[in-house]
Amino acid sequence: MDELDTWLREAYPRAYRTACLLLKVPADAEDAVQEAFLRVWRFRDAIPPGDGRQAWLYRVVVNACLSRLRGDRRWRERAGDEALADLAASADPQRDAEDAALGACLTAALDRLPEHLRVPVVLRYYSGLPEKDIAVAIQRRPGTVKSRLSEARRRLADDPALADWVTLEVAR
Amino acid sequence: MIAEDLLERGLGAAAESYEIPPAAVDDLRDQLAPRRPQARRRLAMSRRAWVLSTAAAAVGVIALAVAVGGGPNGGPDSGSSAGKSAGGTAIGSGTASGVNGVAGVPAPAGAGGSAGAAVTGGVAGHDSATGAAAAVPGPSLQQYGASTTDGQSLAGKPARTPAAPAGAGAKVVKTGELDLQVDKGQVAHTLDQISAIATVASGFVAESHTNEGGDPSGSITLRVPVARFEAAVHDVRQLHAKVLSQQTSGVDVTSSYVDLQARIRALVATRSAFERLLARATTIGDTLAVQSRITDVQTQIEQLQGQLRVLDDQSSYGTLTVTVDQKLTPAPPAHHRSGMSAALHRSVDRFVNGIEAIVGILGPLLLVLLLVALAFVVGRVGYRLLRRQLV
Repeated sequence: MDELDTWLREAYPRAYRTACLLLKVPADAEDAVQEAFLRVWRFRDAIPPGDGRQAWLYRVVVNACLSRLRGDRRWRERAGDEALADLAASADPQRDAEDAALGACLTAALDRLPEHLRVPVVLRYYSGLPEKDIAVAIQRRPGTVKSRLSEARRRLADDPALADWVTLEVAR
Repeated sequence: MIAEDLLERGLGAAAESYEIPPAAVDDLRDQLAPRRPQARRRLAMSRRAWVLSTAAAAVGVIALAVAVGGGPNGGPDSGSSAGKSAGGTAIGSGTASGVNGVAGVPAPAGAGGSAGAAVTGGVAGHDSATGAAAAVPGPSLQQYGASTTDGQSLAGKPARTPAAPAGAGAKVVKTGELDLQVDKGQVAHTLDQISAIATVASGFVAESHTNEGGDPSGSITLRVPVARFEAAVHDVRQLHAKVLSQQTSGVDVTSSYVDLQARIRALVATRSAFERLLARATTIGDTLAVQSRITDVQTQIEQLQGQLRVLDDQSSYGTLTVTVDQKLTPAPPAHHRSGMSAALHRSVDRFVNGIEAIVGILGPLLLVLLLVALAFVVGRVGYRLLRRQLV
């Protein structure tokens, strides 16, 4: 297995799902991630070694996703509260569905976050990027990333969709 | 503030609901760096197909020879009768004869079909179909038609529509380009005539632009029903214009079309299965997972249906692009001057150049004079003031 295979198999799933979380539409996410991999691979010689490629990959992924989001406002209509509506329709959520329910609530809450807060949250808490890599990805200073993450967590804690989860977490 | 591990758990769960497309990594890998071994494997398979085809043909020849010649004692007549049947069945008959040089042998399923298709491909666009054309394998399965940069060689011989495969309506995407040269002032008129040809052929003008500058030119793209494509090309050629080049081509997309239809049918069946599963889902997790899969399948169906519509459009209407340029006006011959006349013109030129040089230097000179005068006045005033103070 060569360098390209290794990179693709390690990085693709998380990058793809990151794009899915930002875009909501798997087909669009696939296009965005494909575009990102092609560009990063084409300019791989100009990218600093080590983790630099990951930061650059996410930078291109984020840019590709944002350009799609800004050009296609269907996202807003599509996201909405569909997941929450499904959750409300269920009379008795079971324990094994807890994570799925949390995911649905969090997705709904994320939709209400402004874009400049939503992107760092996804990159930090799903993609697992350190703050300095997020700074590269969103082209802001690390200090800005830190303050945006704090602001996002504060807003999410106040979101009605997550209120029960926060209470439950505190009780535990 | 919300806990970080809650965020990680929730986002992880939300992300897990998105299935990784099964072939995405491999597709991407092929795009980034195409793998050679696959090409070799295809080549190897192709060779195996050829070997099988040849073996099947050989068995057929022997069987035919036995049948015609009455067994191994049939003598030399058996070979010649097989040879005679070659010319009769080589073209478009779906036999392997043109490929293997063995005539009149019904080809086995698969091998014979491909050989037959290759024959069809070789014929299309040429009025004289030969065994050599029929023997071209590979690309001729998909690509056939006339292609030339010399407009005269195809005059009056438009590309023929290839024969449709048995049991399926052929889907052929036809495109063509024509470069015309017209007399001075005739560009706009010719473009109007070409536009009228599209209308007469029940087509339309997809795109048109003209350049009205000193060297007028224009281009026009027609979409014409495939059945009338050759007639439209012929009509354009009949205009009062010189054909500088012509290129037409036809690509058989029947297999792609049929393949798309089959994939759509399969995906619709998959979606129905998921919908039945959704009706039986009892937990939130199951419901979300199945809904996500239905969304994926629906997206794929819509993408394939879009591709199908594009193929439908392209195979219903041929695209003909015609470029019209005006004949170049020959440059006036250089006027030959006599020695005295040339000297006189040189003299006049140099006089004018001298005047230009003098006028050109007047400006800076005037500026220098003004600066000197200003310095003199300032000096004089300063000197007087100083003298008064001293006195």
